[in-house]
Amino acid sequence: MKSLLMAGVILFSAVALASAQDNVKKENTFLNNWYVEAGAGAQALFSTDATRLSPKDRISSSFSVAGGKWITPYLGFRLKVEGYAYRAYSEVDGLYLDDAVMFWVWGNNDPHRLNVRIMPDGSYNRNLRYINTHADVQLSLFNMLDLKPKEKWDVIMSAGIGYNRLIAFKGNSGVNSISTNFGVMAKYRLNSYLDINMEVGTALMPDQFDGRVTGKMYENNLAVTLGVSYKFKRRGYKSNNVPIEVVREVEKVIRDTVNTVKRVVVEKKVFNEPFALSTISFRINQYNPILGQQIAFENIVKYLNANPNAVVRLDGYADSETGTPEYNLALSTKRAATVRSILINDYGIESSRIQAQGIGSNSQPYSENKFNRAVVATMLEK
Amino acid sequence: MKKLRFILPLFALCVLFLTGCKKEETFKTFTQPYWHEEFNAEYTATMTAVVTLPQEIGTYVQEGDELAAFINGECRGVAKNIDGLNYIMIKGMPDENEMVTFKYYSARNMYMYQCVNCTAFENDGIYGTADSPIVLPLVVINE
Repeated sequence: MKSLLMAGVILFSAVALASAQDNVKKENTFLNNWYVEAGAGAQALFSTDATRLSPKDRISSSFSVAGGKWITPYLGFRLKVEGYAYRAYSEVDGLYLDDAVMFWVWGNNDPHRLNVRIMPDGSYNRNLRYINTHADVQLSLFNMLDLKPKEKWDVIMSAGIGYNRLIAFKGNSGVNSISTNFGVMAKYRLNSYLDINMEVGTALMPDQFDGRVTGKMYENNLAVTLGVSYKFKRRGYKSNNVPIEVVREVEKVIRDTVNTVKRVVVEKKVFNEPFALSTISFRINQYNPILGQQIAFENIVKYLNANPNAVVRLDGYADSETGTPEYNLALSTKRAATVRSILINDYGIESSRIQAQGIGSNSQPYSENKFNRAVVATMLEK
Repeated sequence: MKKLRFILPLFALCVLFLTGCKKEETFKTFTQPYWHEEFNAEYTATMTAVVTLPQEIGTYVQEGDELAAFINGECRGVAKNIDGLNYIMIKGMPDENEMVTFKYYSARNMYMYQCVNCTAFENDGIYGTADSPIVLPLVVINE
């Protein structure tokens, strides 16, 4: 029980940490970031006497369907329904809920015996049918730790509580119980819509969940499932605390920015030898610059003041290993627009001398992924 | 989609393997026997046995179960069940000292159990009492 509590505390601490690190309040509209999953696999039950079954006799099938939603890149919720069969084992000297002598006093007559094959030593397999419905909190470890190797893999931890229903089957009556569920899932992205995953999960249930009373505090299963996830089209996260002028600027820049190729062609025709003067950095999924970069702004301001014919072009970027290309384009545009606002409002630069555009993540100025969460200030002549 | 074409059949195979690998252990079953004492005028001696079944077998007692004592493959006594105890009057010759084998048939599971050479026949001998019955160490016949 202690380990159970510890696991819960650790997981929920991680949730709190993730929320604390995520300084930008996310607006995740109801329709965004939903997914459905289906899986199938094998499981074993760790109930009393089940260890007497041979490993292959303990294995039974498990099927699951789930639906969920990612609230932030790190944090999600899901509702999962799983079930089918458990293979347990019993001898003649157990106590069974179906043989209640009186309240909290049970007899050793298991009605299941009448419907299963008995071994010569009197033991028998208890074939159980169940359905376990649980609501889980999910944490994307790779997003939390900023590990996204080629944007293909992810590891997701989950914990939740649910309702386990032992279905009346072969003499057993139905039994209701609470389940506590934990899981670790490895996910591989096939394309924008489909992932495959492998999940290892366990459900902890009270001793009598299977109709047999043995005195243990809880019994649990261990399941390994392979599954497929389908992500609905609307995905991504956007901020809800964007100033209106930034929103308008973003809309304008997006409208004006057709694509990078066109921008490059225009540059070549109009400007000679532009050069990058400074870079302003950002944290992942944020569009407010990291504090302590005043020197970068002052360099831009000094250059503009010293060169009345100069203009600055702000190219916003986002790293390519997180987020979708569409989302990254919007994020990079916000970054450029935010830097533009700072130059105008805090340093008094005329708006006509500042160009801002989002490049997104299709082009990456730096080889180190996290350095590309940046706005590059390029100086040009009018 | 090429990956899917590879992964989905692999996934289906894994599921089939995991769910289909169980093979149940089988045990020999028997048809209902008809045991009755062999009549022999020379069997003037008797021995009394009061026995019970082990719990793992006794749990499944039902109508049709049979328990009998054998000497040299010849049925010498059939049990009568009274209040959960099996009383067997084993017949034999006065000077006979052969080993007695008990056989038990479980109608519920169609298993045959036996206790080979459990005790030696003894004229007027007693093998267990009502106050202290012998629990037969039965072994399933599986060959």
